[in-house]
Amino acid sequence: MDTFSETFSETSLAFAPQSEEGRLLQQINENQFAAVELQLYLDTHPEDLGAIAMYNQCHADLIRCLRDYESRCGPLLSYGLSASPCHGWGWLDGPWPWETNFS
Amino acid sequence: MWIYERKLEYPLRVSGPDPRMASCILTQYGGPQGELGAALRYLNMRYSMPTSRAKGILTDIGSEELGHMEMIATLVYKLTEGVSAQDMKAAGLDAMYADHRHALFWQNGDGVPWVAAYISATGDPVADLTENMAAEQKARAIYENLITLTDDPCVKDGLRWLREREVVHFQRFGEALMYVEDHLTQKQVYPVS
Repeated sequence: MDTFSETFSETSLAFAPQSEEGRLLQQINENQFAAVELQLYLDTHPEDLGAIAMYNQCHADLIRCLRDYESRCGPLLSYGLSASPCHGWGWLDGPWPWETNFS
Repeated sequence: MWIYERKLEYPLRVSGPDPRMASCILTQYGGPQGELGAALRYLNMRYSMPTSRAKGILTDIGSEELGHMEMIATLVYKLTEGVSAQDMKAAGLDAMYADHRHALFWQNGDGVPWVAAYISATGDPVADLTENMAAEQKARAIYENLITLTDDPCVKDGLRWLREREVVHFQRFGEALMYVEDHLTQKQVYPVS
């Protein structure tokens, strides 16, 4: 591996979440990252039907992961795209993104 | 319309407080090549783009930059969390502490505030998309400078991830520019009098 790759492009820390919440969040992050990448790619390659199929698969997987996470950890999306638990306004529960310690 | 997602685009951790590094990273919050400027530059350019591809890529990269702005804020927050005024002073951040305590502000590490002049919008789609490609390369260079400045493997990991996004965005803006140039060539009209 060249110096440049070692310095700037080394693969991310092999970080395995210990908690169920962390594991579910990682699944969301992985699917959403693929969806973001495919979305940007499709913006300049809108005729690539294979990429559209991959995007739709990511969408389906992402929504499933998102709802799994929300049923356990509370709402993730604002403005009506996630339901709140009936017993309390779930949006305010748990650490905010900048406060989260991934464990 | 934007929808907030109550999570980071990529998880971030730090090994421990490092206020000096936080002040260096702050340039990617409110500095000339920072994520605020990137988000505003791209989202603002959408209105003068001639093709749907260009409007789409500016919308989607501009939105992603808002998420990166939140990631940079998170790094600064975590690196200064619980740091005393004395330790901020020892790290050379006493002037910053005097104005902002632990609040973030739109400035670089030297305290130079963000200004709209950091971004450009000529209304010429070729000039503007070329500006964006340069902006992505400049941001990549800043991330490489920041990676060089820290020994914290967790901070390096987050900065490397952000650096990679600059590379991808540069690629997509280049493709969008190519299609815009094709479009402008095709639409050329030669009036006959």
